[in-house]
Parts: sequence; C-alpha cells; structure tokens
Amino acid sequence: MIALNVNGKVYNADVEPEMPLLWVLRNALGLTGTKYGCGVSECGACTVHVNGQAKRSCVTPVGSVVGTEITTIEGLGGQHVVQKAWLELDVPQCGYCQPGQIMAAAAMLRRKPRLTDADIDREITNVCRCGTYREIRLAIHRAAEMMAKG
Amino acid sequence: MTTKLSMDRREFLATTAVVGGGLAIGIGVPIKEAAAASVNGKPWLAPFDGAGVEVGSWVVIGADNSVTIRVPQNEAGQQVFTTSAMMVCEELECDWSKVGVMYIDVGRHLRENKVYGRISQGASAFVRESRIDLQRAGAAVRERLKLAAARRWNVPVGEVEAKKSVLTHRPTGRTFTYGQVAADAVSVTMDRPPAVKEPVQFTLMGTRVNQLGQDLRVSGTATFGIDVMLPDMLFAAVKMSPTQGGKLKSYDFNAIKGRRGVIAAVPIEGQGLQVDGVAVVADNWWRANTALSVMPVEWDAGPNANVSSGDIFAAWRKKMDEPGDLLTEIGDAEGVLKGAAKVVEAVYENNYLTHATIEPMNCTAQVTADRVEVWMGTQNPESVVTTAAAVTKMPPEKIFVRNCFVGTAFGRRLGNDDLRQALVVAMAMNGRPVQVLRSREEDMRHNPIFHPMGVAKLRGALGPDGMPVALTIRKAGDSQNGPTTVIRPDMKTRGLKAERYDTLVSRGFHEIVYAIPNQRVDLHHMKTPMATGSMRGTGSINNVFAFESFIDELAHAAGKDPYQYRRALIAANRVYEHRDEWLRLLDMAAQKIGWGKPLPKGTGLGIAIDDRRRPGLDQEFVTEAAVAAKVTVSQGGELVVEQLEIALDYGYAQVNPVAIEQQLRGQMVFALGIARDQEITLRNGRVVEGNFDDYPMQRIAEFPKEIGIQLIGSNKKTYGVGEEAMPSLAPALCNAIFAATGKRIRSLPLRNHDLSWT
Repeated sequence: MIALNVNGKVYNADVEPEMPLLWVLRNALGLTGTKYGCGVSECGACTVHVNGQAKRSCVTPVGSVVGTEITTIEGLGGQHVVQKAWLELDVPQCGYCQPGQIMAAAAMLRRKPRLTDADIDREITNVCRCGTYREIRLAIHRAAEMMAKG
Repeated sequence: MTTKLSMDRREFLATTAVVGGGLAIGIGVPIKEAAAASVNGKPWLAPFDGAGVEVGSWVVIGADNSVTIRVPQNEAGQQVFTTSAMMVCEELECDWSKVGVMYIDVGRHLRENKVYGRISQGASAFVRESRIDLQRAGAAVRERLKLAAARRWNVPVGEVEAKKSVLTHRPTGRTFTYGQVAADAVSVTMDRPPAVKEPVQFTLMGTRVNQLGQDLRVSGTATFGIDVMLPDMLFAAVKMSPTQGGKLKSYDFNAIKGRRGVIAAVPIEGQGLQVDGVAVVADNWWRANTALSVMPVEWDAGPNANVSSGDIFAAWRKKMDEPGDLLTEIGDAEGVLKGAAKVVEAVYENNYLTHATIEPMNCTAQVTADRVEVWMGTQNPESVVTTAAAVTKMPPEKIFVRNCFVGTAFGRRLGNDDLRQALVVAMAMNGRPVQVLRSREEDMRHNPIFHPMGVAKLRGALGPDGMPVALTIRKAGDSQNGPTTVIRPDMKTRGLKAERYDTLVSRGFHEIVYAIPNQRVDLHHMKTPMATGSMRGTGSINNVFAFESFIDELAHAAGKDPYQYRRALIAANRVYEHRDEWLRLLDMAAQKIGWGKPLPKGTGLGIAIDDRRRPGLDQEFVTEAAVAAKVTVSQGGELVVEQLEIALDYGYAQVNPVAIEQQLRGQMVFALGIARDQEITLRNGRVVEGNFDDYPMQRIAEFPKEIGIQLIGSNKKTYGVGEEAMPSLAPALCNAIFAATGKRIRSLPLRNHDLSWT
C-alpha cells in the first residue's frame, strides 16, 4: 500500500512504487481529469502539481511522490483564477489537453505572477491538437491580470 | 409514404414517441453524476435533473422551462454541441440560458428509420447537411407549442407569439411558459412542416456564442472515451503486427502470467486494413501495457517486410514518365510544351501522415449474454452498431452505444477499428467491461487510414508575356480501392475527360481556376502495402501544396509578382462562376499581410488560394479560402512564422463566428505541423515514428503571434469550415520562404531542408 495525499485527501493505493502517478490517479483512484497523451513527457496532458510545481505524471513514479502534496485538475476546484480565465476566454475546443494546460499555467503563475509572452513560450510546452494556443496565451495573461487585481 | 424520410414523416413519428422524465438509457450509471450546467459530463445522459416532456424527436422541455436538444453528431472540438443547439433554438425562440444538449440515442435512430438524419461526422458536413433539418425541428416544436397554447386559450394560433420560452396571447397579454404547455404540445400534430428562417432573419445564428460544456472541459469532468469508469472494469493494452500486413505467430502468456494484476492475453485477428494484434488484460492499464511489453510475441512479417517509403518514392518518380488515368484534357498541352520557348518543370513530394488525435484510440466494451455496451468517442456511431452486431453476432437492438466527449478526430474515428479490438477482448472476459487503449506508439504506427504519399510532376509553358499557355500535372498517390466512376452532366462542358478517379489522389487538381488554355492532368492510382484513407484536408494537402507552389515558380520564371500573377490568371477565367470571390479573397489576404512593401532579405511573404468542393458530387457547395504568410528565416536557417492571414468565404450563412474562427486557427496549427515537422516513414514494412518526439506537434511558441481572419458571406451554399484553408498553408508558407531565402521547397516537412542563406 502506498499512501498519497491528493487534493487534500489521503488515499491508500495498492500499487507498485514504479507505477507512474498518472495511472495511479486514473485507474486506481478514478481521477480521470488528468489525461494520457504520450506517456513520455512530450505532450503535458498529464500535468499535475507536486508541492505546487507542475509535474508530468506520466513519467513520475508514484513512489517518488509519497509524502508530497499532489493536486490534480479536480483539486483546483473549478473556481481557480486560471479556470475562470479559461472560461472567460472560451479557450477549449475538444478540451482533452486543457486540464494539463490549466495545471501548467496555474503552476507558472504561482511562481511568476507577472509574466511575458516569452515566459509563456518557454514554459508552456503542452500540446494542443485543436490549436487553441491564441486563446491559451490570452487566458494566461487574463489570469495574471485577475491575480494582480486580487 | 415514400421511402425517403421527409421532415413531416419524422415529426409524425415523433408524436408517437413520448418520453416523460427518464431520458437516461444507461444501466448502472447514475444520472447527472458530474456537475454540469448545459451538458452532462457523460454526454449521453440528460443535462438537467427533473422530468421533461419530449416534443418531437429532437427537443425535451422540462417543467422548469429547460430545453434539452439532441445532438446527432459527435463533439470533437468543432463545437457541434453549440452549433446544433443554435440551429434548433434559432427557430424554437427559447431562452438560451436554459438550453442544454445531449447525444441522440443511436439505437432509437436506427429503430425509428434514421430519424436523426446524418449522424456520422466527416467532410466538414455538419452545418452543410444538417442545418435545415435542425431549423425545421426547432420550428416544428415552436409551432406545436403555439398550437397547444392557442387551444388552451381557445384563440386563433395567429394571435400567439413565441419568444424567450414564453408564449403570449397578443390581444390579451396572457402568457404560458413552454414548460406549462409542453405536455399538450406532444399530442399536437401538424399537416406540413413549418417554414424556416432565411439567414437574413437569423437573430441567434451569426452571433458570437461561447461553447456549451466549457465548465466540464476546464474542470476535468468531461467524460472522454478514455475516462469511462465502470464497476468491475478491466484495462487492456494492445500490440499490433509491426509490419503492414504481418501476422501473429505466437505469444507466451505464461511468461507474464504471475505479474501483478495481469489477467489474460487475447489474440485479435486482423481484418481488412487492420493487422493482427494481441492484447494483455489487467486491472490497470499500466500493468497491462508493461506486461505486454515484456511478453514474448512472434510475428510473421508477411509480404511487405522489405517495403520502405524511399523505394515507393523511387518507383513513383519513374511513373512520372508514364501517362496515367486521364482527369483533364483541354487543348493540346503536350504539343504546346514541346514547341515552347520557356518551360518550367518541378516534382513535388509528400510522405505519409497520420491523424495523431490527442486522445489515443480507445474503446470500452461489455459483452454479456443478452447485450453489448460500447462507450467510445466516435465519428460514426451508426457503424458501431453494425460492427458490433457483426463481431458479437448479437442483434442490433441489443447493442447500446454511448458516444463520449472526443479528444479530436480529424477523420480518424470514422472507421472504429478500436471498437473491433475492444469487442474481441470483451468477449473473452465473461461479461466484465474492458477498456482497450492503445499506447501512443501503437496509435501512431497503426492506422487503417494513414494520409497518402504523393509525387506530382508539374510542367508549365510560358508565352511571350510570361503567362502560362500550357500546364501538365501528373500525380501518383496511394489509392486503396483504385479510381471510382463519377458521372456528371456538366463534365464535358468544363473540359473534364475523366470519369474515373479517387479523390484522395485527385482532389485539388479538378477544374483548375487559373485560366490556362491548354491543360492535361493525369493520375496514377497506386496500390501500396500501406493502409491509407482520409484525413482532415484529404487529397488537397499534397496537391494544393504542389500546385500553389508551382504557380509561384511560374510567376518567378516570368519575373512577375506571384500575387498579381495569380490575380491575372483568375481574372482571365471568365466562365468560372466563383471567380469574383476568388479575386476578393486573394486581395483581402494580400492586403492584410502587407503585400508590396519592401522587405529585408530573410523576410518574405507568400500566398496561396484554393477552394473546397466535392469533385463529382455536390458541386454547388463550395467554400474558398486564401492564406497569406509572413516569415523570417535567419541566415542560420531558423524559420519563424510571423503572421498568417486567412480570408474565407463562408457562403450562405454562418452559425457561430467563434466556431469558424477557432476552426480556422486550428486548421493553421494542424497544417503548420504537417508543413514543418510531420511525416510517417515506412522502413522495412514498419512505421518508424512512434511518439511526439519524432512526429512533432506545434507548441505555443511556434504558433504565430498574429493570425488574422477575414470572413465574407457571398450567398452561396457553404461547404464547411473544418478543412478549407489548411491545404493552402503549406504553399503560402513555402512561397514565403522562397521570397525570404530564394530556396524553393518541393517536399515536406521543412525540417528535412536546410533553410540557411547567405
């Protein structure tokens, strides 16, 4: 049994420590908001927060995050400033990659509340196959603006 | 009664199919488990709590005045949920804030003589083919509500007005809400279908509407096929023959039997273009996939183990010297070319491509003694029923399909090849539900419809004024089934000779709009071991790249500006009915990109134009688009796409401008990936590329900071907005690279080319 703190709740998962966190979340805990896209840390659909930092859960062995605070899209609560900005800018098309995009953006904004286009280009490397990149960029700036206003 | 299902027939049927309340058809799945406003997280379930009354097959009206609209096609990001609701509500005159959507019940569609019309999604067809039906559905419900109210008040229906979900008796000011009379409306029948609004009368359509269900997408509660969770569910990973046409020889389940969570291995015989495979089933997908990766499996490589893309290219280049199936012959192009003083010749090539949907192929199935349940994101739910019936030998009425949110499709989810695999595995699991999910690598390397390769040789003869007097195009492309016969009454008047072609080979080369007096186009339909078929953009991806790049080459050889050269050639075509739209769109794109201003070396502009029609079928539906690109290329060869400008003619009517703009930007991202980075390479019968590291995706940093969109509506029948501008992106981009560097790109992707300059 591995004890995990996910979204403020403690789960005991009967999994081997080398299992990627992604599959623990999805198949063992039923938290399906975190998506599988590539399995090799290329697309970012599986992005979660580990102690507030963005982490690609498809290549993160669950054994390496025992004792940390894990947050998934479900734990963001739906009213997070980034989610609000995403709704305001009507960002998603199909929506599949968006939980990962939102988690990546939320972690970046927490670390760097005042950011530039260059920061976004460098740090948001998640794949969106629909091509919502313009809206994602606008929504990240909008979230930053909302945060600055408090 | 005729066999063709007219709208009155549908409405007649609808009055006999009254459902109160229990709209949900799922078993073991709680209604409205996920939080949702306008869409249920499980979109096959009702969006609203509480009882409702069905008025017609499409609309359910709740006692709380909510309106649920049934959506016939899948939601894969192209905004079918929102668009469907808008088309119905335009006529229904209901309160948009109380509108929700859910998928149609596929079983009912089949039981009730295909009451929902076209339910498969493809060829940008949704608005083109469904709009009038959905408007009629909304109008019929509105009229029935009005009649029901008029009866209650005992007044002429002409005195009743419907607006914002309220029915008002104008002379007295009395009102009912829709919910108050919905039950009465169920028994109201109409003699004939009501008239529907013309686009000038639209009040909802044409306005900017945000997508329904966005709350689910940003909270992670939208249920994609991969997210389906069922009690007692198992997970399977699948491995398929690495070679095209290979066979499964043996596998050794004993080697993985004791592994944690592993339950079984199931062989899956190939069928059609799908190769043999073997699945490992476990209680967790990672366990299944890890066990599968170490299970010894032997394959018979089959007849194609020596086939490589390079050899196919070499063989097809040789074909460029042999005549193919004739598509067009106007005048004597070969004769003119022989005697011409100035001839330009070029060969253009494209490798295979794959759809690479962001949600890998998956399907969840449960097969018990008396029913088959399927959960998946599919473009073709109707064929889920027929395929499931064939595989499980169960009658169609025992097959239940739940369509899900779809993590992009691009044509990949029309064939349901993942369904067959899931059913075969589920049949071996004694009634337990199984989700079969392909790893990204299996998904990348196994596709029954890879986008075809292409080799095209183009030759042009220039007259003394530099304008082309003759053009020949010879094209070789994959064609699984060879050319099919197409007969159109107007073919001869348009100089078209061919009646046999495969549009995957020919599309983009039909009825060339540029006025060139002598033309010959012929095609080699090549049978290859590679499974090929339709992807967003289809045949135009390769052909428009070749043709619109070659026109640039002609302009350059003539010493003329490529935009003005195109302009002159279009203007000279006095018989083409959409000539003026072509000119207008070309001008709009050129102007917005800043055509004509001097630019430093290393910066360049390019332009391309095309239209989307279905050769030989519904020619009157057409959507044209021009794309202009501005690039900078560093001396070291680093390419930056600075700006893209799209001008598109949406034709007769637009439903949601937001959806159009998002589709167009999405097309650019899709096409940029193809132009810059993507190719599927066959080596020794095997697909080389396996993941996004070697089949790269465009990221936010590569996305142009500026993509301008200009729309016009020229009052003709719209083809669609799913794939109309994307074929022009690659030639516009490569023409811009030529302008910036002097390097002419004749094959994609660009990453195979050195763009450096001095």
